[in-house]
Amino acid sequence: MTGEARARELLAAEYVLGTLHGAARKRFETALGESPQLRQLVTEWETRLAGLAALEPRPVAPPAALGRRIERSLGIDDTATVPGRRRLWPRLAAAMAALVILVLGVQRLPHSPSSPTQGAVVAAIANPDKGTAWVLEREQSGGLRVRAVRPVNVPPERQCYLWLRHGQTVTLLVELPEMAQQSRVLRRVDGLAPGDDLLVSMEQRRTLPPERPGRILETYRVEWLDQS
Amino acid sequence: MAGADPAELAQLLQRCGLRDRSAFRALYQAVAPQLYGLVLRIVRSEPLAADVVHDAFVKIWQRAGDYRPGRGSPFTWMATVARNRAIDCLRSAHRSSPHLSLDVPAAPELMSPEPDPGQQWAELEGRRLRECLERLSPAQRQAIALAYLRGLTHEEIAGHVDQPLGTVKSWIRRGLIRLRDCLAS
Repeated sequence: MTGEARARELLAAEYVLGTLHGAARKRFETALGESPQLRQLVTEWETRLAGLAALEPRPVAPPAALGRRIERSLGIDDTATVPGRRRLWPRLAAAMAALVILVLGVQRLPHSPSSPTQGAVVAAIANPDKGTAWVLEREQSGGLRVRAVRPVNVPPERQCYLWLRHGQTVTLLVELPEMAQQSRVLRRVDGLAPGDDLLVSMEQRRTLPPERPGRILETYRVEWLDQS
Repeated sequence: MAGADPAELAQLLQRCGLRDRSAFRALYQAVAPQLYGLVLRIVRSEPLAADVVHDAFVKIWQRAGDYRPGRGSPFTWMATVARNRAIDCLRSAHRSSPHLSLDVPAAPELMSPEPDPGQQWAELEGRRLRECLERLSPAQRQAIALAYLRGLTHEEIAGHVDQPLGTVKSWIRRGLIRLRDCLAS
């Protein structure tokens, strides 16, 4: 390591440690904005030193009212008004950059004894312009499978996913198959009820499924068929 | 939530990223005492500590979706958010005496071989850090801890340990490089 490299390394370390003060800290922060290499060094030191904060196992009970105070600040306390709660979803939508969602079919899944036989179509996932792209079929066990019924213009590097929104939680149900692929079983979820939304997203293909909806290229709707 | 493991905390963070209120409450119950204790030892004022923890949890809620396991355990990520907020607060607030004699992090505290059972979730990543901290001299270890966990300046550390400023700077720099080399080995 050259003298200059060592100096940069130490500046980054002391910046993260907190011992770089005053004009030196300001000069470093200016340089930080101009140097990706310096930012990388800072990130590495943040990661190295982060564990120090976890090595002091001395919990202290916070003031009793602190949790409620935080929830009030976030607008998620129990006393929040209904309109206030509804403001959460636009914030969630903003966090999901470029996410396009069409939410429809807020209906309870049929649970009657006269459930359809295996393979019976109970819902369609459709695009208003191009028609139904996938259907949901109920298995004898009560589970649901999803099957593609026509080719969908999905770029090779993209993959569609079906999500359930239950309250403030969004859960991945299944990776939507293409025409040449077999139907896939939806992840079982509890508490499907009116008020739950089903969402379709189209995202970058990857080895592991995404943890939350990202970006989609087309908009689809989920239409539950009347099983009564 | 004693015994909560990183996967459990990571899942709570993920749900917070989706604006799940119940997840936030569970997360708060799980880590608030640890974060409050950490912050209190930095700012040394209960009202200020409450403000800092408030701000930290707001940031955790807002940035929960940004958490990545590669940057450390979920608790470490949250502790870093709280620590950084506390240090910022300490810097911006009027600082009178640092009250070092009341609450100074003794190096052996960091080196405790038997952490609180409720801290098991920090153990996997903490073990390696502990091993590397043990390779530092006691003076290097204490100086780094005083700076990172108490937000003390070089001068304040020098005053606390009654050593020349240059000596303290040298301890910290050599300690940091040794720590880096050890963690990379």
